[in-house]
Amino acid sequence: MKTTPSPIEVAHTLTAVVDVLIPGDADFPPASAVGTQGLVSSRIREQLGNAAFAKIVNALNHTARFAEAPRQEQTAIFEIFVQEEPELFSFLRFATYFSYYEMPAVIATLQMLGHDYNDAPQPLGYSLPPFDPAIHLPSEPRGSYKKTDEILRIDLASLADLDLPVKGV
Amino acid sequence: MAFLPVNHDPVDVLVIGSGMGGAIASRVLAEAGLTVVCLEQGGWTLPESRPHGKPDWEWQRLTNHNTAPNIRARKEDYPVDTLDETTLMWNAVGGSTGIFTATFPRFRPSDFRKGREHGCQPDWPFTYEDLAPWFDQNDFDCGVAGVLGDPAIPPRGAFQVPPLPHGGIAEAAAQGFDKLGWHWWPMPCAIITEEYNGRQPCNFCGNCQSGCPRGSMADVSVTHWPRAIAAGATLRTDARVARIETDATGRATGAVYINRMTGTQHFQSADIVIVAANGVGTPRLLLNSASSQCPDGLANSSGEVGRNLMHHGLATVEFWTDQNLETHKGNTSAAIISEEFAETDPARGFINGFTMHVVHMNGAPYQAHGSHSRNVAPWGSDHHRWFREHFNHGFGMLLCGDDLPLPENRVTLSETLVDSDGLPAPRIDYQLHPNDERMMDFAVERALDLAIAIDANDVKVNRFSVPGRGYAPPAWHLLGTCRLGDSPADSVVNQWGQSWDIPNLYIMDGSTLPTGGAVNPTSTIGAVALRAASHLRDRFGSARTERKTEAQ
Repeated sequence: MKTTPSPIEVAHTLTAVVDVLIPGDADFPPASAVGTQGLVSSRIREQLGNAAFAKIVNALNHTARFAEAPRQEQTAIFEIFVQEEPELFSFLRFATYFSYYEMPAVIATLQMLGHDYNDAPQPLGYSLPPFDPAIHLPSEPRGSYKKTDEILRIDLASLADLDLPVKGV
Repeated sequence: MAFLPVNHDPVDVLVIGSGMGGAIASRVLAEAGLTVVCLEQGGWTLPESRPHGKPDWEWQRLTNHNTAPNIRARKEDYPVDTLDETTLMWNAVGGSTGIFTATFPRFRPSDFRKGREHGCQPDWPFTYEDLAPWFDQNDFDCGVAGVLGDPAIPPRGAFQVPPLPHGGIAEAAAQGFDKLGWHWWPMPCAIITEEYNGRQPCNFCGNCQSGCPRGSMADVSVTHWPRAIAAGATLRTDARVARIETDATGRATGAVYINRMTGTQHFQSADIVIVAANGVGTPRLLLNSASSQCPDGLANSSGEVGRNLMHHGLATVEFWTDQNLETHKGNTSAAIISEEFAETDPARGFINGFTMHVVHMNGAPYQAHGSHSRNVAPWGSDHHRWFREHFNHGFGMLLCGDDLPLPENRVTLSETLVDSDGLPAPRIDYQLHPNDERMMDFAVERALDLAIAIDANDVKVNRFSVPGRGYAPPAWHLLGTCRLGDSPADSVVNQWGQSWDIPNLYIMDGSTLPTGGAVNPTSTIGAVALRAASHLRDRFGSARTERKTEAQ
């Protein structure tokens, strides 16, 4: 039965959704631990409208209460959701991935793993070794071009099957 | 009660659109002492309005700062009625240079002689050599980074600044190109690597696709408009042109426009009208300006307005390696280019050619979500393993092919969509010719050769195919829809951008290019516009009253 889910149920469902998508491991925190579900919620409202919350919750509660199910069961339910609601799934994955990887704790994880990666591109930008012609140009330059006076009519006989729109010389 | 339009004092030149072509025309003609008014439907893009400094920069880039007007849907935008592509443009001062990647290669000599080569595209009325000095001058005005000596293109004038740093992705790709024996060279980019004309250099932040808040990229709102305004040009923002008016003799008298902030209607009279609204906006305006004298649209006695739309055949192939290539750093587009397959060789099974551009992959969110090739990280327990192996370990290759200008690939007026002022939106129909499909098949096969050469551990191909519809590419390069030529029978303007039908109406944007080449077109659009604007300046006395358009 389709119902209007309570705000608490929406919140619990989205919390479970982001953790099913990005569960965390020894280095990376689970998506809900860094607050991903809050941004995802805002982005659902921004891009899909408030009506989408009920649609998501009802689709996931099809056979059981998704938010309260054990993780293995949540994963199984979510696999069905992926098949039955491909557009909603695509959006949730899009919003979750983009929200998770902009979270300060996740960026800190990337830095901890050795990546020179900033919170945002500016204002710092990045340092790169300057262009060095000794190593950044081909050691044996290759390539050619046809000069204007070298351009001659080519034989198109071998391309007859293409029905080319030839308009004359 | 209907309100009469506000009439503005007549000027020498009215320019419609403030992008590369409109900015060049405004600057050249204002610096000659002519009175110039430019109408731009958008406003200024302030540096702080760009997403680069915010943690949600990638989300913004794909939503409210998207390059597709149909996605960001701002008031200054107009919808594009099409299922055949995702049309891309930026409606603001500077036009699409406000948000492009400033990849700045030039067309090659054969691009101007396709009529002679095979007859499936027209010859241009001038040659590469005729345009070469204008390429150099336009580069000087923009500031271009690069290295001389590329044997795959003609000798050219100096670059203004040293080349951009290569970074890990170019080094990895170059090794593969070397193994295959293919051409490669650092890509010319209109991004400055040291201070130039008071602009600060690039700091390699990696988000060129949202424009540049530092002014390091050749956004003409930074490179050209300050000079044009200093020379006396008037730039009216939030001014959406509804139609170009003509008099009983068939000459253009000016344009009716809407101030988007107040909703008021205005009329700007001018001796010369220059349209520079891009390859979609220009034919849309000409078609929206139909009258009893010109029932099929302005300047359209040939029936060519809106036809011959070209975008380039496109595909993206992405490769992942065992190395950390730091692909989020550096200019987004085109670290290096290979023009190995740029010329026609019918033995390959098609005419024309394509180029291969080695490109970056943006930040962590975008990479997790599949980057340009849609190789999306799995959800669930395998997510982090996949991410560790792929993040910053890959690079992309954009394959850019010369698509044939087909009359049925065209811009018309939508029967269902209008913009926020009620003006009919453009409709776009676009399909690749079988020749171009075959070319892109070949191009993807060559990209897969590179995957083997660099020992890639994962590869993903994106042919921009939509289920149930087929090829529907992102369409940045908006070309050919008001093409220049030798004859009023099959072109819209002469070699100087002057309408065959309306001698005081000019077009100076990508719509005039009769062929699209196999590279990003902005450098060529700028050179053609600079040549045309300079010619108009030099003969303005006679052009002002001209009654007939000549071929030469």
